[in-house]
Amino acid sequence: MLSPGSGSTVIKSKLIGRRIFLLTAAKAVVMVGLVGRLISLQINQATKYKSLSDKNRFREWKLAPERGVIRDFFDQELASNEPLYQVHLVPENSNNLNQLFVRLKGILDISDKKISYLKRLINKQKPWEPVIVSDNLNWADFSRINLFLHELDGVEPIVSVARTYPDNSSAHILGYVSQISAKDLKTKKYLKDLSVPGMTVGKTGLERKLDEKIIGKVGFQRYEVNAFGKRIKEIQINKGQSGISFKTTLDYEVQKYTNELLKDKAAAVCVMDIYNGDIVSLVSAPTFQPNAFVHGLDKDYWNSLIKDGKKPLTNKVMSGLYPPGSTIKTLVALSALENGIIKTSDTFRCKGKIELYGEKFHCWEKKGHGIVNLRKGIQRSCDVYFYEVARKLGVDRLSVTAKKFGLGKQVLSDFVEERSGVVPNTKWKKKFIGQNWYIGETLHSGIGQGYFQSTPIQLCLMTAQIANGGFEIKPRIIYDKSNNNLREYINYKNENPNDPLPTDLLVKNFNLKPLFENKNHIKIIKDAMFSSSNEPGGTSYRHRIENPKFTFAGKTGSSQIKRFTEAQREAEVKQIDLNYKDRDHALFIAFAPYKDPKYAISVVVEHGGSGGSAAAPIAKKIIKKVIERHDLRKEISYAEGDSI
Amino acid sequence: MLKPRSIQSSLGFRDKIFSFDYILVFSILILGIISMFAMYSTDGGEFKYHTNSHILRFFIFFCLFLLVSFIQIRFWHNQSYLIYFLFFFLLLGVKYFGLTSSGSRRWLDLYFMNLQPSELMKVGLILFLAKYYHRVSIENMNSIRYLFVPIIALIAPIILVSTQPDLGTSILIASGGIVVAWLAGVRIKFFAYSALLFTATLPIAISFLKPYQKSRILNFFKSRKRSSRCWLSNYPI
Repeated sequence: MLSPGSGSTVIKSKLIGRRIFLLTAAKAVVMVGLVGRLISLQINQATKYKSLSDKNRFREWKLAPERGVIRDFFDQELASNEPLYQVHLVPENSNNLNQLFVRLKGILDISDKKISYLKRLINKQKPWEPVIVSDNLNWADFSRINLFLHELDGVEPIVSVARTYPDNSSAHILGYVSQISAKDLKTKKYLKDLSVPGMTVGKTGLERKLDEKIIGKVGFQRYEVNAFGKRIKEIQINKGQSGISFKTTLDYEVQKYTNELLKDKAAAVCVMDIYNGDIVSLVSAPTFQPNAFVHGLDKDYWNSLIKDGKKPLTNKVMSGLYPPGSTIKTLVALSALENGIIKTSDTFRCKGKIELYGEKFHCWEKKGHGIVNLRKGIQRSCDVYFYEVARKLGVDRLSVTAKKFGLGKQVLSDFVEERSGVVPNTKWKKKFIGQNWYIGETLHSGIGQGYFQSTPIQLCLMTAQIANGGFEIKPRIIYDKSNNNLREYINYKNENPNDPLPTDLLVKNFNLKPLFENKNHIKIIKDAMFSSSNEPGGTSYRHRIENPKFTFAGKTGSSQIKRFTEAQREAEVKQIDLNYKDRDHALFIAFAPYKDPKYAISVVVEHGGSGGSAAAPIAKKIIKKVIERHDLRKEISYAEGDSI
Repeated sequence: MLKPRSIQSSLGFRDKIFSFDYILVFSILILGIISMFAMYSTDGGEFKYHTNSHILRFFIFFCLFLLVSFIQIRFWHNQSYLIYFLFFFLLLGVKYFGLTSSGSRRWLDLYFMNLQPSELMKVGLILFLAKYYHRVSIENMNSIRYLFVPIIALIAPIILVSTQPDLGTSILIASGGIVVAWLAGVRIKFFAYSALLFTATLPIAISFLKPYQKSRILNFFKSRKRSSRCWLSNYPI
């Protein structure tokens, strides 16, 4: 059996040989195919599969950067950061979302409303984009989540940082931060690469103005993950860059003090250094809780804010528009002097009212002020005197002076909420109202009523520029060491008291821009303001401070909300008897100390009645506080290498 | 490589060494080393259980492979029927006494190791068919009479293995057997007929498959547009 016919064996081995050859050829073809495919996968498409496998292998988690800190002049933190415990959920890492939510509900206190909101959000987003389940957990809840983490696929406990404000005193000037909205992403270019869950942006105030610099750079953590997306090893961490911190010119102590004074009022206060324009205090009342905005606002709180007639969300210092009232009389008198319309000795007789062009114009003093000159006109705030001056001056010349001193334009730059107000003139009325100017409107403008609209910060700047001798200053709220030329001038004057420099030389040497033609005119106005506050009969005489260290010179004002009827005038109706909404706004501007002025202040109390009774007492207290803290402020300035 | 070697030739020890298929030996050696690196990599870059056990087994079985190749070819020729039936009984044993793991029963517990007889059957069937066709004369090769034994010898182990279930190994056993039959000189038309028959019974055969087996086959034919997250799970590891 083992050896069949030899012929047959030969044929058989020939057949087998042929077929083995074919088989080998087939194997070779398969081999070539395999090797070719390997080359194609490993070499030709190497980058594609490398990135695919890296995508499988690595997962990145973005980290929200810390916002820069905002400090006051004394390095107190006005806006800082605190650690925050959050729970995020990555939908694609969870097998059963419904089950997960049920489980989460058992661990955390989440409402059904929140869950349905989250589900809608998950449907809208990409499956790998995390949603925030709970954005501000206490430590107990956070540790409980961590305990149950092994059964919560897709849930990620996150330790983050959040904005926090020590109190509400500076809420308006600092503004607040809140979650990035769709509109923010569209309008603010710098947010393009910054979309990290839990990231907040500045919505108003300094937070908004400084947002681009204060927000920082986003970091990331890169992890190697296994096939189930579980983190195995940290590969790389980039903590991002926290935002730039800013030092402001504000004084936190004064902010708190002012805020306390304005409690229960709708009011605005601005305090400014008259030489370098540093804003020492900027408070709007009533205030709100900026901390409430950081973690998504409570609906009830929001409703209470927007329904409040005192408008707590408005920064009244920069966006509140008020007729300047009698405070404008300082500029009316200055303008008239500069234009040579009147002399200080010119007098008018005030009988309580005058009749012009068939219309009656009343003075606030029904009995009249008798014979009034410029000094007495400002001291007593005689309306009749200023009707006469305004009539002679004309509104166009008044508007030139008013604009020079800072009315009608924004004081600080880059605050979305700041408004520019209105300085009316004939052209303005033609353009915006489409009518000719009536002479009667000039008289109203002369006492700061009518079309005039100004913000408290503008009034403060106006006062500061009168107080410093009539030189232009550029108000600032962010501190920088750059020396102010006005300071150089003062230093020069102190070192060379007997060297009277003419104005044009001042301009050349110190780059100062005088706002006056004749230096004496400014002095006259300052002296008149002194008499208004410190001499018997002055409108704010009752609230004077006799200690020369604190003595201030000011001007009261009240801006009319509703015109008095003749009947009311006859009945001598008092402001306090009117409805709150009908009462006048009370205004007061001042600078102090009179002998060596350092600070200017403006106070507006909405519906406060008269400036002398409602605004001046507040100003008095703040002036005292600010001047008491002047030496401390000076020390800091010296330490910073700034001359004062 | 393709030196036809008569079954009668009996080489001495020296000749054996010289006539070694060194390409095969080195290919296996290289494959073993590469897979050692693969194991080392899956162990996370350390010498852990998988790497160590791979090295141990590879060493033992590589030595065994060299040892076996020194056995005279006549021995294999004489014992091939016996070997086939021994392996077949082992397969039967698996069916009744086998170890079950991951839903399939493929192993025999030998206490010091787990034996998978279906792997042995790959060789067993080839030995069986080689001896059988060696004895059939070229004239009778394509007569229907001589087709029955090979077909039964082929189908019996395939049924046993594919019901373990182990589709992959049963396909390998089948292809080994078919190639031997073809090499021996069975005409192409028989293969064509049986391929046709197989295709015709395919719809029925598929209904016996488990769902995961179906999806495995479907995935093989589908284009590779799978979601990137779960593509690993389509392959048995």
